[in-house]
Amino acid sequence: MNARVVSFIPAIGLAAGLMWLVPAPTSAQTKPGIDNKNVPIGYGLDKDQPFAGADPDGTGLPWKEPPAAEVEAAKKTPTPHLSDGHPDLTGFWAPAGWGYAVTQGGVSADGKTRYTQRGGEGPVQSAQKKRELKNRLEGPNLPPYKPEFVEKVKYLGERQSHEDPAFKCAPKGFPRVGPPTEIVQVPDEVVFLYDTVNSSEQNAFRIVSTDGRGHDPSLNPSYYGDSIGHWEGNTMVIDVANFVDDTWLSQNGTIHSDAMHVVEKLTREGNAIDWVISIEDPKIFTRPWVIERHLIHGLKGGHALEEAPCVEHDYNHLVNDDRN
Amino acid sequence: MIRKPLGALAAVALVLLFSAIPLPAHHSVTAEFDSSKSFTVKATITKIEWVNPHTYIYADVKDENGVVTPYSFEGGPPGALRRSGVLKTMFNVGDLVTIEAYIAKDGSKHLGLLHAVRFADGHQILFGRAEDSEGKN
Repeated sequence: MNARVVSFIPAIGLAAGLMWLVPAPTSAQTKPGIDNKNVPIGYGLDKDQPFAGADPDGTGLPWKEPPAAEVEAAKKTPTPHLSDGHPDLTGFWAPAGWGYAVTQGGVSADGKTRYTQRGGEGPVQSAQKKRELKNRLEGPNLPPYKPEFVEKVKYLGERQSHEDPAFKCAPKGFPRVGPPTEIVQVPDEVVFLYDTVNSSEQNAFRIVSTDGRGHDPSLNPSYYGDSIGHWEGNTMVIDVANFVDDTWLSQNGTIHSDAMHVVEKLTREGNAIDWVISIEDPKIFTRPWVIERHLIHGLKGGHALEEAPCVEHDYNHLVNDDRN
Repeated sequence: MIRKPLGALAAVALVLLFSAIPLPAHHSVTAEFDSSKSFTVKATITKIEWVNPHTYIYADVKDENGVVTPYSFEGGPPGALRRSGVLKTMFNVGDLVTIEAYIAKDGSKHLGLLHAVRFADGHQILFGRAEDSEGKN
């Protein structure tokens, strides 16, 4: 009898069914040379609750913002510092990127049926979804394009299913990838790691040099740019430049040019980070596009990185321009 | 293969539940599949592809004359499935399963969106919510 069959013994019921999902801590503890005591398993905050606040400032981006009360509570704990005196940004930060939606699924009373517990879509897009999509293109903090680019961006946004490079497994790049999911900081560099859930990214990361060097003119333009950081008081200020010009800034057809330059600022206070990006593109923007989010430290020891290559199978089967 | 329309009530429920959890960076399901019509096949899993933006399970269907037809079934993104309690290791190449899937809108006969995978020992994995499936499974 294999493990899967054992897990469906009816008497074990729901609780056992849920345990079926994760490695049993007891077996992990028997691994020689590793102290697996109290290693947390899972994602997101300790509460594992998704934040509802997607796109709170009308950017058209799906990056979520925690409730203000959660941010204020997280700020009240002491801010850790490295031995060099700078705040330590190291940790697993949530919600990042798309935020988290952990259901852990469900199991029927007889233990025989596992449900993903995710709602399906109807045969056609609902009026509610259509409203959401319309709002996404009409928010108060959309990228400030020069007039001659507005129509093109609108066209691309409405045809996202067919035009979005990320739908064909091209990297989203920075800044579309959003805030970092995990940060590792050492004295001369900071490494940002990105959650790849629901994404075309494949183990995306950025290395931010903080040893005083300037941008490297020998580098090729890239999806994530060249990142150079320095401290201004308690704020890590990162200058990101040298991008390719074929990524979008959001899912809304938001193109940019090779002149794009991003200033990213992270300020840790307790268990929260204030994350602000200012996207400058003098060729197509009339002014910088500024976006702010708060990150809250997630489950201690948690990691959100998952390896999943991107292979596109659907493009030739799409029958309309319905977006998600 | 059996094609069947879902009950009107179930279809309405699906519409109401639509967008409960947005799955970004890929197309809308409504651009490719019709969740008001499903088909059911008995098939042997031949390949399991746990990739973004959608997982795929491939399976061979043998008809009464022994003619084998390969089918492709789309699932959710690997990360979203993991958060929903579904892992790649729950499927094995060689498993003889009954698959219920929603039809492709472009008329592809051997492509479907996974709704349920039923295994020979009686357990099943259902891509949806328990409260939407009462009395149907």
